[in-house]
Amino acid sequence: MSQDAPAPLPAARGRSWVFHLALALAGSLVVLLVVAPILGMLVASSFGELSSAARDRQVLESLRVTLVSAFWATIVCTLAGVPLAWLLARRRFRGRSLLLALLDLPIVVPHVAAGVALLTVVGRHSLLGKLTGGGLVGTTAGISMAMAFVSVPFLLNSARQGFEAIPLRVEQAARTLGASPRQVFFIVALPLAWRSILTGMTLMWARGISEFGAVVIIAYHPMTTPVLVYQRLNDHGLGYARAAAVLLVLVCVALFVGLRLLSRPPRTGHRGRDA
Amino acid sequence: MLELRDLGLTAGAFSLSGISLDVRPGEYFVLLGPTGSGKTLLLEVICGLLQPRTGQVRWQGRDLMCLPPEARPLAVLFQDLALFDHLTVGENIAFGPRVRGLGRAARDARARAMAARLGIETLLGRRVEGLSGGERQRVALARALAVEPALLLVDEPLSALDGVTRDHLREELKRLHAESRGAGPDPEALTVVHVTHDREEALYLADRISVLLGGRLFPPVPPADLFRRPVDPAVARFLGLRNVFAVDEASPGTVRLGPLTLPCEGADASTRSVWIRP
Repeated sequence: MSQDAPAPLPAARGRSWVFHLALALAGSLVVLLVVAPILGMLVASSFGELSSAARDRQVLESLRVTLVSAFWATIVCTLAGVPLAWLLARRRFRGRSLLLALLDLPIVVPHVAAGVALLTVVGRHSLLGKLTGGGLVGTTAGISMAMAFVSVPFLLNSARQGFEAIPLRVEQAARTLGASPRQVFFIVALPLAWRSILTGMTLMWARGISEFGAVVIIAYHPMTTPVLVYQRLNDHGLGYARAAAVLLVLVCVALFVGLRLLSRPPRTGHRGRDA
Repeated sequence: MLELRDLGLTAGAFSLSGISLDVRPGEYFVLLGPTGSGKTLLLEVICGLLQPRTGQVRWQGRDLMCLPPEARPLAVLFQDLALFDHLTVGENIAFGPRVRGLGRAARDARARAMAARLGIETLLGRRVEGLSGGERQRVALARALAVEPALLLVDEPLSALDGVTRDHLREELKRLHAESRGAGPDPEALTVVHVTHDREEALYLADRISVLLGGRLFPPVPPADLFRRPVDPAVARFLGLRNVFAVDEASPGTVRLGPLTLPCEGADASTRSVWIRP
């Protein structure tokens, strides 16, 4: 008995452009959401406005306070937090999941509430406030602390992911070659994870610079640029606030692009011969 | 001598127990077993990366269990090599001497000497990222030997290589071990424990071979006896031998299989199975 030949497979339909068009349209919406407000602000600002903002001593001082406070918050948290990120990446201990969730808490806590919470630790009526005669309210140290609270998860997560990306065997090989845990951290883990750490530092710094809610509760003065923009918007209207906002955005974008270029992975080298 | 005494270990769902073994000084010892038989776990216990549930590991009579990996007198050649991608070939080889406190000049000299031994001195300034598989193997081997270990643990380093490269590296391992041993038995010679699933590799390299199968470590035998006189029917099956028969009755020099009584070299009253060679 002869067997029927199997039916031929239908040819693949060349409709993929419809799918790609749908992807592009959906993606454009997200890009527009990010780009439109920034572009609109830049277009609406005249060069004269910008130039006068760049010479405005109050604006410049607020920029200095913002950048420096966020910088110190990032540096201190990097020194203390990167070893913690390594431990979280490498050690499995009781309560690790709880600790990870706790360290992510600042991302979900409303930042004004974070500011209020911080006041209980560094405010005038806190233990620290009584000991120091005023606490950190109204100081750049207080501003740094508020910035650190809201932005440290970005650093910790990025650094932890960088350490997790190093094969465990590489660190184990270092141990069997005679390296102590300290040497493994400094000579192997840190150099292999530095790009992720730098990315985390950049994110933390940028997030610190942009913080308003927690900072304004800890310190209205000295004024950071986001607080200054808010104050000018309230007191003098949009036109007066915009120039300071544009200046802050330009500074941030320049820093961000610079640091991204610095932490970009190198192009892969040529492959060697087979032995 | 490396002594494993009654080791029991658990890693996830896998466990081994009652593992005992003596590896003689200067010996090239091969642990042969299928993938997933726990060979790598045993190496991890010896080098201190895994704590066993029970048992002891001793080297030259000294208990290693209380020593962290960095204080044990050994080096490991890992299956995935675990090279340091952020360092050059020279820095990789000099890593062990560096973390053990050797000065820059001394460790660079050691790295050059090790590279020369393995024929990779032209690669010293290169990053390891761009190297071929065979070159990476040599770098890993040079890095392990640069700490002048008394004991070298080797974890299937040849399995990922193509045929020709594998043959070269295998010869290299044999040559390096023979060089350390000199003309005759030498208590100072390099002792190697090499785990593999490759029978050919085991036969080529080993002074003695022990088979690890189904959670059981069988007594070590010389390579010549591995196929000729398999220690157990399960080992014979793992080695791919056919014609393994259960013995009904045995006496010195003969065995009875049903109606057949056959002469059998080495048989005694305790013989339980025989393999008939084609």
